[in-house]
Amino acid sequence: MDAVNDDRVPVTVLSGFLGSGKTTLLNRILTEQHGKRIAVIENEFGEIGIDNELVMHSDEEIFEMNNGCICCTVRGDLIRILGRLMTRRDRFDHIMIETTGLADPGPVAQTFFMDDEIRENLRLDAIVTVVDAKHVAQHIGASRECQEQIAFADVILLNKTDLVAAGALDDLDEAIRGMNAVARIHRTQHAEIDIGCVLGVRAFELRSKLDVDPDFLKEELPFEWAGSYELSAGNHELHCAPGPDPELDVVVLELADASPAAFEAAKKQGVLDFSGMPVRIEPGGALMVGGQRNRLVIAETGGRFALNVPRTGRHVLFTQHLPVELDMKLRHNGAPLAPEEAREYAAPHEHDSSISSVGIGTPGSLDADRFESWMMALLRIKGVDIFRMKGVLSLAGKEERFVFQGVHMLFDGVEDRPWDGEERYNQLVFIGRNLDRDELEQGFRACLV
Amino acid sequence: MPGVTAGKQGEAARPAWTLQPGECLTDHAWSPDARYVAVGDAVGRLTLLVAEDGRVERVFDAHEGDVLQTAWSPDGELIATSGLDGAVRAWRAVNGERLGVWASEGEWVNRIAWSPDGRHLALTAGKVLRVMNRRGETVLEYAGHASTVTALDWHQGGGRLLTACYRGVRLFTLGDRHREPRVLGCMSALVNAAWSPSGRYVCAGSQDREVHFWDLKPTRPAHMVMRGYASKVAALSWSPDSRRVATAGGEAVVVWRTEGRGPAGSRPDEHRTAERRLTAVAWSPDGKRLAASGTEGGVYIWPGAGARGEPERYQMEAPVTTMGWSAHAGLLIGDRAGYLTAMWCRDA
Repeated sequence: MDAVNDDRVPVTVLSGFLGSGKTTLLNRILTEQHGKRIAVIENEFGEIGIDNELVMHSDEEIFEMNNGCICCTVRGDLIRILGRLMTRRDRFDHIMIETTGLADPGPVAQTFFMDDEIRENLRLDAIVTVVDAKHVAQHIGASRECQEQIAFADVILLNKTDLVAAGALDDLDEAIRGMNAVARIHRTQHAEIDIGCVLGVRAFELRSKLDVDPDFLKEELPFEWAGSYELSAGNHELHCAPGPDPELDVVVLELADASPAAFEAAKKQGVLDFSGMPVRIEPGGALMVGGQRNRLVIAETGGRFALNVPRTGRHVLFTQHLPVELDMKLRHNGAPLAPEEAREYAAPHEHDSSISSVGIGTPGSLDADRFESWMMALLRIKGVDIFRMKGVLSLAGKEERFVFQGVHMLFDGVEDRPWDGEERYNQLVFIGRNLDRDELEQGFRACLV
Repeated sequence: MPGVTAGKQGEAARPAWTLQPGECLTDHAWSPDARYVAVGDAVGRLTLLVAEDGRVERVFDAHEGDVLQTAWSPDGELIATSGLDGAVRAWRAVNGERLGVWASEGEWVNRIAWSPDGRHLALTAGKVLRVMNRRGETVLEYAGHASTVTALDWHQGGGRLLTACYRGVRLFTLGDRHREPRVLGCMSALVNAAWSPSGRYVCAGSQDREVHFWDLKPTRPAHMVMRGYASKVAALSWSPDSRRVATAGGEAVVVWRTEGRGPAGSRPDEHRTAERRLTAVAWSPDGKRLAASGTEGGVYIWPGAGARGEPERYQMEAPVTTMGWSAHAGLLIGDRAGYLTAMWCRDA
């Protein structure tokens, strides 16, 4: 089914705690003159202030599916009620489901993937979560429901911004983005927002571009620093003082030349090498140039390591932490060397909550079978903790981009437009709880050809 | 003929008339003598038609919002309807006299059914089962279901009925009003359930693509689960001799046989159709025909006692929303666009 010919009724799931402004938003949508006829299913009791013939109430009924997986659940009440609404489908253009603050968005989202009658007639447009900025700032660390509603959202209204200081708002924004890298965040007062940001979002359409801040995928690199040096063949020394971390991962690569292109190529290789098995190098030991992930063990008094350079030429050092943090110095014959060029990259986000987004962005193509096996095993084991997944992948042997998204163990993917000479690149975002970035990256990279 | 476009039409069924009473048709009930048909729609109307020529006899404003179910009492005297408005109403069939509101549940009344002897009317609304006599008195009430009730069916021998909901079928006996129902448990969300006419078996379809089957004869009921359906098992129907049960969850009708140790371990008959998903299946009361219909508006009738062979095909205007046999081999089909079609089947 393509976007143009899809005449299914769009459904918006509106979540948020009572008092967040969710009901204000709903009432506004129902009263504003936007030309859309909207049917509402409310889970909260009698919250809607508008007399509307097409307002139905439902009590949440969660059905676990019979496959033994506790995250495979659907909302039985919604299946029934949405089915009933289909007898009058000419009378409305859009459906809104207003869930309670305590509702788990997982079953709601999965209902749209799992029930064929619903899939035939309805499409999930977006999960919109309204958040009381003042309240959430205090509770985001502790409230599991709050975190899950943020993690599942496609659109987040950070509401009541008039009650929160600008700096605190920025922090909150960043904390939310750390949890959910894919959602669109809007700052609002009194839930005032252009209807187009909330209805007709098409968040579940499989598109060939991830709506993610490009920096999110690019900058979340496994190393924080890269420096290129002109090195002559022979022995060099790397010194480190004690610092915030007793270990430092380093990868050293030869560069083809001094051009930016060569640097970029080495950077991509460096990212790959950083997901390899680390080799521990004790003080006095030697780093290897080439694909090895050298894990320098820095004793309490610091560490001195040998670096043997096989060929004279331009080299690049990728380091896990900034050199300045460990007073790292590269020496040749006793003399300190300065990098020709140095770049810093953002450190991965720290999180208060156990919920985070992990983004993987790497060039190359995947072995489709290996990827599928990996994904299925991952979802079987970790499906409960993975809330959402979105990706655009390059599959070896396939001309077309592969776009997909998933909720828990459910997975939907299609072939999109051809790569057509464009550089093949993979983008993958996981949103979930207790995600192990290293594990996900390693598993993913093992699928690259 | 409007409403029935040319498909493969055979010898056994003759489309009789087609009407468009108006809105999406939700449920229907044949009179026991097959001379009339009552049809409910999504704007709360109940339309009474003469079966022979489709002439509209009466139209009632029955409910605010959808008519959910219509049920004709076995003695032919009364028609009961239930609605989105939580009400159950009754009408005298012969003159359309309103007998008032029999129940007011505050919730959608999803199912109503007359007992085989016509003395009781059962209804389910939300998690509540209520059985009333003809004086409107409640003789049994039960509110302990695990979820909204999805199925209601009387034992043909009378005095017993079953309900289905999330993870179980409950068996009730009238007169045992203080005893808890017997529960046939399972791990599925059930969407329909029915006794075999003999009362020995119970068959239920589930949301997660399984059919559950119980043989009640042994001291401990034997529970069998059949898997492999493409979609939720939206429809099921027993053959009158209780030897077969037709089920549908996807594009094929899957017919299980109950002979010997029951369907477990046996190979069912499968009848493929061109529907994306079948939504109704019905065995004719004389056992001679099996009908099915679905999301693409196709209607299929398999002639012959064993329901073998190629079906006849008819095409409706819109997805079929209600379908059922009369006592005299008439088949009524209603669709989402408001078209109503009747067919008469000649003896095969």
